[in-house]
Amino acid sequence: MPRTRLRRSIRRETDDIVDLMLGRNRCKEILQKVLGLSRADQTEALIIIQDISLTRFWNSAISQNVSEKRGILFIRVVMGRHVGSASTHRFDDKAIQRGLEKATERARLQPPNGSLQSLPRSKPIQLIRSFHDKTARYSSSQRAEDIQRLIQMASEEDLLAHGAHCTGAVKVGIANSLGVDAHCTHSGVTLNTTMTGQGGSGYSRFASRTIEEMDIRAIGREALEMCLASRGAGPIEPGNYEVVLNSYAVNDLLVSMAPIGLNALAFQEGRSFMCNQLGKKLLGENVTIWDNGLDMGGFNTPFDFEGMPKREVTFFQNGIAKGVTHDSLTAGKVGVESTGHRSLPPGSEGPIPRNLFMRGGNSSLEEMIRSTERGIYIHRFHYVNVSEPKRAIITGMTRDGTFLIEGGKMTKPLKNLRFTQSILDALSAVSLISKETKLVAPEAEYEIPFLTGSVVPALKIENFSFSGVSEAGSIR
Amino acid sequence: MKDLIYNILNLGKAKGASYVDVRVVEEAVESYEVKNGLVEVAEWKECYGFGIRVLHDGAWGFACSSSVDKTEMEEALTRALAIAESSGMLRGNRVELFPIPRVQDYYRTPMERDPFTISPEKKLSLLMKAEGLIRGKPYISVSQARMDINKIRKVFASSEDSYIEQEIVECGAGLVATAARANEVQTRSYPNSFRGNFATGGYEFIEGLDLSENAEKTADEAAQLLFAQPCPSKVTTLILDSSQLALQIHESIGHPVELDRILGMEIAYAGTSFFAPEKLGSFKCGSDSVNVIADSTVAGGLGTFGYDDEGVKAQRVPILQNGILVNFLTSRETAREVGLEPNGTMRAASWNRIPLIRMTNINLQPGSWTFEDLVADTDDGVYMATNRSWSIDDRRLNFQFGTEIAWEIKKGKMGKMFKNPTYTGITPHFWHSCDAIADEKEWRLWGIPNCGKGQPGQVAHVGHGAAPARFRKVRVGVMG
Repeated sequence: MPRTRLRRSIRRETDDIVDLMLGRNRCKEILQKVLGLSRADQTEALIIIQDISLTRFWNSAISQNVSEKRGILFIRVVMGRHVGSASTHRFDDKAIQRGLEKATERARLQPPNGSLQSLPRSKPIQLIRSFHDKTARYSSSQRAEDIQRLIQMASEEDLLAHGAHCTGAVKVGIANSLGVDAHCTHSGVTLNTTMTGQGGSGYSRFASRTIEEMDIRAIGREALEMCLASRGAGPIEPGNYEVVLNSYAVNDLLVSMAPIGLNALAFQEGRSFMCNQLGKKLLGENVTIWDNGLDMGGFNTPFDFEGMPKREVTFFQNGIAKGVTHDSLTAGKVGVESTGHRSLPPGSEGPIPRNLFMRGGNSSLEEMIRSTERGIYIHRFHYVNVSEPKRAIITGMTRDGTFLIEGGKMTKPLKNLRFTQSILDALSAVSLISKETKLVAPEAEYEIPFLTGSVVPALKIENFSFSGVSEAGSIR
Repeated sequence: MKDLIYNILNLGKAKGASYVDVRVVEEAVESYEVKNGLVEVAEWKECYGFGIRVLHDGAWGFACSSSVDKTEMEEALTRALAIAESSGMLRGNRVELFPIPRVQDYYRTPMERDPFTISPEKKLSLLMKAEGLIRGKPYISVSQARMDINKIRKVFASSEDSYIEQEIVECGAGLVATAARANEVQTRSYPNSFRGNFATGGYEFIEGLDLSENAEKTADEAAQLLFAQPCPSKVTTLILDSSQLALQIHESIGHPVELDRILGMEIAYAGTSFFAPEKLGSFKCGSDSVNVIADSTVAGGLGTFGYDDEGVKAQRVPILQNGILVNFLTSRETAREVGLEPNGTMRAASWNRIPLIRMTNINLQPGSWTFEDLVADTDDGVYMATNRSWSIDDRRLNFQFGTEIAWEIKKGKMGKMFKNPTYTGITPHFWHSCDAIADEKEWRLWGIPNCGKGQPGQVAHVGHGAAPARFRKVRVGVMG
């Protein structure tokens, strides 16, 4: 579609969301009011409006059902080289004035420092399509109908369905006194379901910008088949095994790397496993990992939380460490350009990449299993946490589908296993990569939904370390 | 405000809701962080909004907004009722609430000095001084000092004629020293990791943390860890400091006794529990030394308040007595399902979330040992302090924790320092192996400001009281 038609089409759609609390013009008005009232040297205003609904189901019935309309205004002011910030849920003149005063007061009381060069200057923002009206307007009764189909599928096999189904839209607007003026509205849908019964459990997760892509039967089938196959799980001795990881598990490996290694703050503070390693081979030659907020295959978004355009950043090219993500603060320290990765204010955790991609290969899950003489298939991980950041060692459990593979077949379900494993070592031992990739988004958003997600393949890894088994011995 | 709230309660009843509650929450937050001599965060936040929960034909609906006015509240009520109707399309058991008395009350966190009355200059100066004592010490690459202050004003009103106003003040602070050498990075935190220690109370709590007095020791230990040996891999006696024990209690006792988890309501996300309603009163999941109380009345606890978000009064409830499971954390809905009483644990992260069963202050009662005797009585073991990582399975059985630092114990004496310590176990086995707990002198309340649960995600502020304790035959030094 030509650029002007695309722009008109996007604007028509987003202006038409009657359910969102502020239209584009009102949003711009508030941002300009903040800039106009400010007496600071530089000022930035960020508005986030969200209209999100979520239905939880448990034991094949709806258990929680919520709808949230929320607007928040973040203000950042610069006085000399000092920064102060404030935020409020109120948009009236008095609240804006109070926010500016609080932010300015905080900037003024700081001792001289050189932490900030300047707020960023305006850069061209790429137009993207990330809003779908039907998805933004999806109703609680439509979500209930989707859930009913999952429950029906589960019930036909004498199983129970549980999970959460979330739909809605988020509007982000940002302006600063140096000319940044960026706006975008995203829609999104996520659905995760666990099916249980007869001693088994299976899982499926879906995420997209549009409800049109959601195939309830496919989602239900994945959880159901995994549940039926996982009945009667038995133990296995911990140790080192060849593993086949579904995309859900691969997502956990990538997401764990982001805060500890792939961002410039961790890198500049010497905490990152990428320190002194750029240009060196850290992962297998077949592994390429990057971040790209503009890719329509993910939860695409054109700019970050200071209005800088999203740029593609390659972390590993054929296993070689290439770079890290920046916001304007980390970029200013080393004289490079921001890559468009400023986090939600205050952003003190650094420019964490949130749109990760891993290059697919030529294999498939079926081929990975078929080519494994003895190994373990893992559907998903649970409660993964970083144990040793500098070596990228993580620990966690398997869940909802762990199987022994023998002679190229999944022969028996296994009880959940604890792993303790360096991600770098695991991604240095990848033997097969699936052609198919999947968008995997967080199951529970704590802040802003529909902005974070990884697009990842399934992997076969030659060596993976399991350090324990759940329910080892009697618990009574 | 009262008029706006009563309008919704009356309108909700008139439109057929069997129960309605409204919460209006206003929160003020101040955060400061000094890093490497620079002010990294100087932030002021205000949050304001309301949430309406309705029960219609035995099914729940909830809607909320950050625009607090009559029109928006009425629109949210309409949304909540429509949502309850959709919930009714796939209703399980009809929701019945345990009856509670009508309450009209006001609660305010007791404190000496409201932290919001202390000037930002003074707060920053306290942090700058402490951070300055870390900065410049040998091998220190990052020095940080952080302070967070919250004031939550909330009104809870229900169609059962309860109207409760609360003003809860929380504050906390902490230090972090990161040391680096070659390819090695080590971190020490004071008084605890994850932003320090937190409490309900006034600025006197922050001053009482003595940040500056502990800054140099924190920096020195971070540097010493660079030269320490890795924690050996073996099965041995383990002594945990009270802050690590707080997280152990949190993950392996606190979450498993949440009745919504036990009933399976969190199965699709956070998981379930190894506890079950039928185990109440008979299941021994710890040694005789293990006595745990859920106490939302204890002074200064981060999980201390007047009433929960269903209007149930704060209370002190035994959970484990001599290692035996005697109660759960309950809500009006779940308590009724299993024949218990609600014990005041339903809390929402803010106006935009529904209340869920959350820990209050889940406290391990002190024993009778002095810390010195605990060590002197240990022939061979490891003492671990300050949490660094945590992970536990979906039934809360198989756990693995990492701490920032450890020391060898040999023949009753503390010996060399170990880096990268970890330990693992199975929950009931671990608590059965607890053979000694230090006394009241060593007992301390820890505020955990980052407890996640629910979809959409909610972060709760909870507390844990603990004194150092000893565990036998624990696997330490889990290798990757």
